[in-house]
Amino acid sequence: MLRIIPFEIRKLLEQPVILLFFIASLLLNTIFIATAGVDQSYVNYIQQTEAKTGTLISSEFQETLSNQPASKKQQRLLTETADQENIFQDYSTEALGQEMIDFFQIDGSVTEKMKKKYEKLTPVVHELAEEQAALEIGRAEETMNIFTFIKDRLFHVVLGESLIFALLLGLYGSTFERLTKTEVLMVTSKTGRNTQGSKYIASFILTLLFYGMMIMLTFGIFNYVHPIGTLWQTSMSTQFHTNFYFPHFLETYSLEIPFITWQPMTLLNYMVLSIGLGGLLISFCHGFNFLVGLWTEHFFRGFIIFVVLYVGFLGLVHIINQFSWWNIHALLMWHPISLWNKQSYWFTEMGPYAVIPWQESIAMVINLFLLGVGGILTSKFYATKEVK
Amino acid sequence: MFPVEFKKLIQPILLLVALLITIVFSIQDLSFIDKHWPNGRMVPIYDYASDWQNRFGQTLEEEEIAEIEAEYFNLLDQADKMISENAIAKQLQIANYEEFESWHEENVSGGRINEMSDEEEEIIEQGDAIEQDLIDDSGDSIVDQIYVLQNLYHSIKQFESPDTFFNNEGFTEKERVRLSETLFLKDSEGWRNILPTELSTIFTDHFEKIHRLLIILLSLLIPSVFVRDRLVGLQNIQWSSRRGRNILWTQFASGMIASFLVITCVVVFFGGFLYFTDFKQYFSNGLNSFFIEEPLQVSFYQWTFGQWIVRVGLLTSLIGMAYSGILFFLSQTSKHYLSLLMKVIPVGFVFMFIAGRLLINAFYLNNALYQWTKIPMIELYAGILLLVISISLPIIFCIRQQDKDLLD
Repeated sequence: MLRIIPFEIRKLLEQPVILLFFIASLLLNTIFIATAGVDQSYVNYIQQTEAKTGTLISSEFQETLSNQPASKKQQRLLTETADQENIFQDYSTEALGQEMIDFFQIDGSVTEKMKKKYEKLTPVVHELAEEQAALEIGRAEETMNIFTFIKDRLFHVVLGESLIFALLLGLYGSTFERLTKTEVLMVTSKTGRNTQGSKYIASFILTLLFYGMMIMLTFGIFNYVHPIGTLWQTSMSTQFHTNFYFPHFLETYSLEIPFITWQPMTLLNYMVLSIGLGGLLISFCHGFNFLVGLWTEHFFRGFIIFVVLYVGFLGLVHIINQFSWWNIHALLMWHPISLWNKQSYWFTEMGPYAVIPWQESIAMVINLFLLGVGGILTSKFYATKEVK
Repeated sequence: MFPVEFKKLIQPILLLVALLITIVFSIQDLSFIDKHWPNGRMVPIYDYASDWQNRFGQTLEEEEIAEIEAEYFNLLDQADKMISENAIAKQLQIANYEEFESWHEENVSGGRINEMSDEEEEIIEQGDAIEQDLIDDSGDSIVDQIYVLQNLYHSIKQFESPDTFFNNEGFTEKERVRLSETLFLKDSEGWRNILPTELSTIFTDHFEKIHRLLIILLSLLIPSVFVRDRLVGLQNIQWSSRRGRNILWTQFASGMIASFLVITCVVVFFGGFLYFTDFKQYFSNGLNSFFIEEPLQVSFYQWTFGQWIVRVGLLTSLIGMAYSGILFFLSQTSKHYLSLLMKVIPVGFVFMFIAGRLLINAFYLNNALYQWTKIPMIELYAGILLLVISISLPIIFCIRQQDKDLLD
C-alpha cells in the first residue's frame, strides 16, 4: 500500500487546477494582507519606544515615555496608556458568567453548566493578574486591530481555503478512478480495493501540504509587509485586546469582555495552537468527504450531500436560536461546523458556545474518533461492495 | 435543440437543494431588514422620521422646522423640570438638563461593570436612576428623544446654507457644484426630504446579500450540466459534425437564459418583498435628506427612493448576468467537477468582493468605488464593463472552438 502512495500523489498533482487553486488562494491572501489597514509607523514607534520604557504599563513607563522627544505618536501613546490598571486584579469570573447568562438570556440546565465553567476560570484570572498580562503594552490601541486581523481574518481565510481544498480533494481522492473508467477494474481484486487506503493517504498528504505551505507563505508575507516584532510575544489577554459577543438576532449591541484563554498565552502560542487545531479540523473535513465519496461513488453527488448537510445544519442552528433551546444549542456546539464557525473564540471561555473548558479541543478529538469509527464501518462496506 | 439543452438544466434534485439554500439564506440573512431593523439607536431616529412623514408629508418646510424647534425646546423644559424635582439630582447639585448632560459626560466612563471600582459603580447607578425618572407620558425615554432631536436639529442647521454644509468636509469642486443643484436649488431642495438615509445603506446591504445568494444558486445550477456532458463523452459525439459543433451556441444561450430566469426570480422576489414592508412610505421621497449620519451620505441624483431601489435591483441583476457568463466559460474549460469547483469557488468569492464594492451605498457619494475613482455613475459603468468582459469570454471561446481539432 505504501509503495503506491507516491504514484497516487503524482496522479493527483497531474491536475493543473490544484496548483492554480493554490496560486489563486495565495494571491487573494496577499491582496488581503496589503489592504489590512495596519498603522505601521505607529507600530514601529512603539517597537522602538518599548526598548526604553519596558513592555509593562506603570508609573515609570509613563515617566520614561514623557521624557521621550515630543511627537504626535508620543502624545497618542501617552493618552492611550494613561490610567490603565491591572483589570484582572479583583476580577470576578462569577460576575462575568452571570453577565453572559443575562446577555444571552440563557435558561434551563445550561445556566448551571455555564456558572460552573466560569467558576473554573478563576485560577486563570488570578494567574493573569499575577503576570500583569493586562498591563502589557503590545501596540497600544493598534493591538486590537492587528490581533483581530491575524486570528479572526487572516487565519480564518487560510483555514477556509484549506477546508475547501480538503473537501474537494477528499471527494476527488475517492472518486477519481471513475474518470478514467478504471474503477471497476480496481474493485475486482482485494489488492485493488486496498488501493483506496493509498488514495486516502495521498490526498491527505497533499491536503496537509497545502495547509502547511499556505500557512507558512501567508504568515511569511504578512510578517514581511507588516513586521510586528515583539508583538508576537505579547499576551492575548492584554487589555488592548478584547473579546466581543453578539446576540443572535441584533447586530447593534455587543458584549465586550477581556480576552481570557484557559491558559495564559502569547500571540505566538495562540496562533501555533490554532494552527494545530485547524490542522485537525482539516483532517476531519478531508476524511469525512473521502468517506462521502466512497458511499456516493460520485464527486458531484458527494459535493451536493456535503452542501445539504452544511446548509441544513446552519438552518437548524438558526431555528434553535430562534426558540432559545439552549440544551440543543449546547449539543450542536460540539459539531465540527460549529467549531469552524466559532473559530475566533477558540481556547477562550467561549461564552454561550461552550459549557466546559477547552471544549473546542475536546470536541475535535471526539469528532476525529467518530470519524475513525465511520472509517472502519465504511472499509467493511467497501470490502464487500458489489461490482456494478 | 434549444428546448433539449434547456431541459437539461432543469434537474429536480439540484432545484430542491437550491430551494433549501434559498430558504435557509432568507431566514438567516434576508429577513434581517424586515425583522430586526431599525434596532438600537436607529429606533428613535426612525420613529421621528415616520412621525414627521405622517404629519408633514415628504419634505420639511420652514414652518415645520419651526414647529420641531418648538417641540425640542419644550422637551428640554420638561427635562429641566424633572431634573429640578429629582432627589438624586438635588443631592448631586444638578439643577437642569444641561448640567446633567455635562455631569454624565464627565463622570460616566462607559466601562464594563466588572472592571469598575465601587465609586464608579455608584455613579453609574445614580446616572441610571436620574435617567429612569426622565420619561414622558407614553413611557419613552426623554433622554433618547433629546439626543436624537439635538442631532437632527444640528443637521438641519448644517443644511440651512450651502456654505456651512460644504465647509464641513472635503468635497471636490465638481461635487460641490453638482450637489448644490440637487441639495440647494430653490425648486429642488433635496435636503428637505424626510428619509432616514441609514435605510439606503440597509437596502444596498440587502441587495448585496441577494447577490451572494445568486452566486451560490448559479454556481450550483448552471455549470455542472455542461461538465457532465463532457464526462459522459457526449461532447465528442456532438463535435464530430459541423452542425453538432453549433451546440455550444445553443448551450450558451440556454445557460444565459436559465441564469436570467434565476436572477429575475430571486431579485424580483426578495427585492419586491421590500414593497410590502413599512419602508414603502418612503418610496416616493427623494434620495437626499437631512437625516444623515455622515456628510458623504448624499447623492447627485434627483431620483425618488423607489426609482433608486429599481436601479440597485437592475445593477444586482447586471452583476449576476456577468457572473453567469464567467460560469459558462469556466464550465467549458473544465474537464471534470474538481477542475470546475476549484475555479468556480475562488471566482465566486472575487465576485462577492466586487459586488460589495459596487452595491453598498450605490449611487451615493460614500460608495467605495466612487470614492476611489470619483467618477459619477461608476457603479453602472463598472457593472456594464464586467458584463461585457464576462460575456465576451464565452463568445470568443465558442468562436474558437468551431475550428478546434477534436483530439486536442
